[in-house]
Amino acid sequence: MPEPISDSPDGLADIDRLIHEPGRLILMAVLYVVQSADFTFLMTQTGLTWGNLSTHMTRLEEAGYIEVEKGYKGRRPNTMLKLTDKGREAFRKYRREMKGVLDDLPE
Amino acid sequence: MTINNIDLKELERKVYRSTYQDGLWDIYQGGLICSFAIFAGAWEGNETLSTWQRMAIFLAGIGLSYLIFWAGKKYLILPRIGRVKFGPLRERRKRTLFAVMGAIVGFQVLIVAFTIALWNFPALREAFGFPAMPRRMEALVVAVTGALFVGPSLALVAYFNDFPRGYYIAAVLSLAVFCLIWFESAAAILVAGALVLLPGLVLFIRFLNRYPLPPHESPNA
Repeated sequence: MPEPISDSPDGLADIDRLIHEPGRLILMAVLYVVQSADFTFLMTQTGLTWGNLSTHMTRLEEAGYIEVEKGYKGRRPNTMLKLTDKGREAFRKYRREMKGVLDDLPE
Repeated sequence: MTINNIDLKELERKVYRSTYQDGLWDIYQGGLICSFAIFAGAWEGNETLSTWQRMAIFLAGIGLSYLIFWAGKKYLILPRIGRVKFGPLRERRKRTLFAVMGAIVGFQVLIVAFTIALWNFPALREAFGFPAMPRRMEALVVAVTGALFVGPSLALVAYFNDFPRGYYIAAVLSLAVFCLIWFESAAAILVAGALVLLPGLVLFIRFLNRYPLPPHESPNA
């Protein structure tokens, strides 16, 4: 019987599943390469709908990976998001681990 | 997207370049160039407008171009594409650009001053061993020098700003400066301005079609 992946020593079981979801992965990746961005910018860059983005944002904020700054630009509400130090480190760790897992896969 | 094909450097570049896909910067540059063409038209000996009038139109053109750029960004682009702040790497590139351009402009000013001195003082020319040249040959040297001043400078700006269309603008303007000096006609500058402005306009219209205003439920709407 093949060894279940969860018992595999390759580390897939330890992958951060919060980041591993495709929508959150692209959101984290875009936030990683900028200092901060607002909702509209993230929607146009990720292709996520407002509802999707809001859901992912809430999950990541609850985990302490992103900070949300609510403010105003003139009279318009403006929400800026940025990765926390914890979020940046989590993304770096995720990237390292995934590269390790994928590099170890046989051809 | 898989982690293996996330190239973060490439992603950052793509995100950065998306901030000027709207064409407004091209429209702004095209407007500046066309405004300069009106001022440069004074070289053709046209007596309809005085130099001061041409200067006033030139400055008004610069003001109008900037106003279009600023208003377009604020009222049309930012509500559609949102706001972003880039990291310290981009700030460092800007500072490097200012330093490099400062050195280049300083060098070019020295060259221009030296050239003017050579023209006005034949003894100086003899002292440096420059031969007397026919007027057309002198015009050719000035035209080539002018083109070489403009082209590489603008290309450097394009490089540091990570703005690929900037290389096209550099080439067009470099050629226009050559034609302005060699043919003594401001029409070349006007054509260059149009060649920069019109594609910018096309990009702008495409951008507006591609990115509608976000729904009113969005927190940034």
